[in-house]
Amino acid sequence: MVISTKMRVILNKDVQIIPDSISIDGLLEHLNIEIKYIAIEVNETIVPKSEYNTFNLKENDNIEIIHAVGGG
Amino acid sequence: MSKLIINDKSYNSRLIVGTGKYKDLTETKQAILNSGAEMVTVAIRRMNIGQDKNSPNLLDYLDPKLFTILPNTAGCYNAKDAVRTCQLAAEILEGKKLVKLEVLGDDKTLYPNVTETIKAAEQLVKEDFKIMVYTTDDHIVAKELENIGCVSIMPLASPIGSGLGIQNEYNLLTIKENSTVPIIVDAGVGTASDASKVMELGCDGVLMNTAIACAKDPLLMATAMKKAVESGYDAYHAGRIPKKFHASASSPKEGNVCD
Repeated sequence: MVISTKMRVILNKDVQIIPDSISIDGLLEHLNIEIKYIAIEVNETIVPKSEYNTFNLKENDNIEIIHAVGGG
Repeated sequence: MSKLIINDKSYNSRLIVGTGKYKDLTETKQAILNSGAEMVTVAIRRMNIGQDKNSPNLLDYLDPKLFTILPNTAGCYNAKDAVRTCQLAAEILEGKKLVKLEVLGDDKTLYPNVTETIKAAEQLVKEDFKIMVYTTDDHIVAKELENIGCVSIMPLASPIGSGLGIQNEYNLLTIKENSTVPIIVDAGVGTASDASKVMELGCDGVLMNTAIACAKDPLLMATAMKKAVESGYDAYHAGRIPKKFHASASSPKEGNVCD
């Protein structure tokens, strides 16, 4: 039996291959992104920071990582 | 200068500045320090995963403990997107719910879409957001937004980034006259005299970005804007002389050596 260790997700509008069933915490570590001043949506629902370590991502999830930038 | 009170917090500065269009974050921060602003606007955007992860975060430069961060909904053209952007902003800013609502009508003028702005404001108030709202210089709309529960009304002086200054001071005067919440003129300021004029009309503050960030010397313009806002405020409260058609000599007639 072949065990899949990778999965396909949409991350900020781009297709990305990431480790299978990874948590949001794990994804941020994988991407080397600090959990500070960011927001994450999965399938158009905001996931609170308190759930990052328990929220496991699935194949084809639509993930958005959002932050603040300069603006008027 | 008396303090500006917005959403129960008081500010020494009546100048609110944007953080866009600067050369880099060092210049952004220095310009803000020169301006004396205590409230700064930011935009909410998708992180560019490939490029942003190693670049410094704007909020590392502008510590939310030191500045009031006012996230905007720039780039939103309907109420649904604006509400979503505010929800994301609150998550980014650890539950803070003060937002700058702007729902735009078109790319060319960046004029507010008033119907969508009202729809968004109604929903955001239900979700306990505290809304500073960018709108047209129309006192009927301004009052409606105030009645919905917006904590500050922010009419434009002229289109965003245009530098055209105040296009209709009488509309701004009417908005101020009818309002019980702070009126912050947002958009269109080009130079220091525009900011002074806003304050001389009796408005409560000014919000600007391009006029400082795109000046030849942004750091010097930031200082100029600080002084302009303070001067305009003081002039308004000092009470200007009435305009007269004829001259009125400043030196006494009595004892004139030419007589």
